[in-house]
Amino acid sequence: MKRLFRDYGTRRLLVIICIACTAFMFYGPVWGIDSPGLSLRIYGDENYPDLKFPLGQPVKVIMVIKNDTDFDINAERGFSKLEPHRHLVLFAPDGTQHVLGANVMSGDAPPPFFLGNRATVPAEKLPGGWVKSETIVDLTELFPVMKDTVGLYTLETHMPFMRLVFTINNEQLGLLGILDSEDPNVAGQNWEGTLDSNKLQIEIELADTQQGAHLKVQVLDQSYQPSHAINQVPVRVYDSTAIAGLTPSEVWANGPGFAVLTGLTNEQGWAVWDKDLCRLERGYTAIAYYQQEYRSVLFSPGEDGWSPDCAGVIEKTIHFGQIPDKIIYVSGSAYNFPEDTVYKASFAMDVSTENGSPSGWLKYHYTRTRMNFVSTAISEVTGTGTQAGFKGTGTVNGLAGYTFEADVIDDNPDKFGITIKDSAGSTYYSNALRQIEAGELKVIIQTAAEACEGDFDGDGDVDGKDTAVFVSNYGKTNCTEQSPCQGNYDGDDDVDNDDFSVFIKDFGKVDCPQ
Amino acid sequence: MKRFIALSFGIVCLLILVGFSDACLVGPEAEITYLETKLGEESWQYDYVFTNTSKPGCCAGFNLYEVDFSFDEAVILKSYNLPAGWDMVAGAGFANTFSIMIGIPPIGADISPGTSLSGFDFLFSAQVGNLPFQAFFTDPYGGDPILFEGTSVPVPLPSTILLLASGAIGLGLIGRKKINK
Repeated sequence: MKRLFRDYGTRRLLVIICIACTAFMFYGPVWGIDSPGLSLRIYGDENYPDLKFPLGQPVKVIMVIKNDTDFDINAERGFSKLEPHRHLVLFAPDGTQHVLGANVMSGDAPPPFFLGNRATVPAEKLPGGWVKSETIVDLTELFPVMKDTVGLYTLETHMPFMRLVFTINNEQLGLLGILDSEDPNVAGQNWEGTLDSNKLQIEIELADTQQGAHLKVQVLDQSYQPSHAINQVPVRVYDSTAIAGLTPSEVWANGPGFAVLTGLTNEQGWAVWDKDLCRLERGYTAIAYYQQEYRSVLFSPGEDGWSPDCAGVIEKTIHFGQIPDKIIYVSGSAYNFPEDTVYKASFAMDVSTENGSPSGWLKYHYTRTRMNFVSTAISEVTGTGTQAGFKGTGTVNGLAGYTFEADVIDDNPDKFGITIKDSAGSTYYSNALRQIEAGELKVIIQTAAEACEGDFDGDGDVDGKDTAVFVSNYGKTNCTEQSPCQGNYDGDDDVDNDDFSVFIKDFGKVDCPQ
Repeated sequence: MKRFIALSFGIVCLLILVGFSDACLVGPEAEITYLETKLGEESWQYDYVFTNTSKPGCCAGFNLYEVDFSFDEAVILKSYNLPAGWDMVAGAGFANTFSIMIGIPPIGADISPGTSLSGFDFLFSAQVGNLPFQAFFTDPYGGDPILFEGTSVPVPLPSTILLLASGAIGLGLIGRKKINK
């Protein structure tokens, strides 16, 4: 025996065997498109070699599973009965993932059963060179999103697969794969995972004769005046016919997969989809969800924006919140003499309800006592006509815990009064309503019905002069906060037809607040 | 000895004249100077310095804490900067600046006698020039604040330069004369 191991050839053979065993341990069979064994490939339609399909055309693909080896592969039974298309995964141009009902396979394998204390499962022998293929005549029937959304799609599949290392042939039951073995050298060698396919990229193009448009949705909170854009609001666009008869909440409950577009609003309140996306001229409904509320808007087929080359853009707005009945503005700065004609009380304020709730600030300084009051919050603003009152909290010379009530009359001269109370509720300081000596205080109470967005010159009406202003701004596309354009009502940085429709609503009004 | 007594008497009289005739007998005083810069047709920058011109020796405690300017209502105060511890209420025709940190430095931001505070920079929509102002001082004896009224004046920069220039020219002439000799 010792001589046998001294032999050079024997030792070399042992080394090779050891290396081979080690390699086998670390490089066991890996299944997939680039590995020996079973392969799963998706091929496109030979009539469209570049895989570009006109919208509405059937998209044919062929799926092929093949045993690329020369040896048999024992697989879980039912593998050849599987309908491979049930495991297809499609990524739409907007990034959404579409899958078929993989759980409803006709080829689902039965649960394992025991035979002679061994857990077994029906198995199937796939001889070397075994091939199975499935032709999908029209992929768009499986994935309806491809029927109306142009863009680049990615198709792939991941099929569940179990290779069985040991099988036995039972007369009644046929070929059975042993799921587990008591033999420690054998246990755990079954391979279970997925068989991955290649990724097939399919482009759906708009046919020359078809009309389409890029859809954009802006979400605004109209309880603010002017309306505020709302960020990070989910927006979904649905085919209107598919959701007919359903309420927005019912539609939403179906999940994002039911939508043809999904997105989130940006800081300007816009949900904008990829430039490549183009919706067909048909009815679409956009639904936004914000603070437990659903609001929707319709993209109707008859409106402007659908264009043959899909160059058009259709923008819609979804409003949340309630338009306030009236908005009160109190602002200005002035001084008066609370006690004599030497010591002034100087005050400045900018308070309103334009944000849907009272907000703003008040500053009050009395020279004689050097009392410096600064508001920290405005809790209530009321007003009628040219009079307004507001309440809140504040600090006196930096010390918190004070409340105040102020009254303003926008008159000639204006009047102002204030009472400051300490934390115990006792009056700390009071300057009764009296006329100002210098400065100006303004009380503006604007009702929603009165607001005229087209009264550019502020003369109380929307007439030809205002039209001239609008026309001079019409067509501008570079409106910004720093360089605003008159007439850019929707805040989309341009003055276009949408803004004109807002302007024209006000045209002819003569009772606008000045 | 007589000469010494006479000299001492003279010095005392002088001190009385100089010392007791200072501001505290008539109340604390302030001087507001400014540097005017034209930034554009409708932009005039005014950098103010508030000085409590009261004598530190006898007027201790008369701290300047508020200066109120009056100007034409048509002029707009477009923007302003204030030193730390000061605030302002400004409107049509007025700008009331006041210290919101009671006391003199390092505790507060009031201006004590004999000291100045700069950093009051106003940008007006027009040239305002010398503005009437009201200055308020604390009363160390517990009474009501003391009012002083005045008019802001420009920093005498041109006259200073003129003085320096004339001095330099004079020195130059003397030097030339010596060289010629």
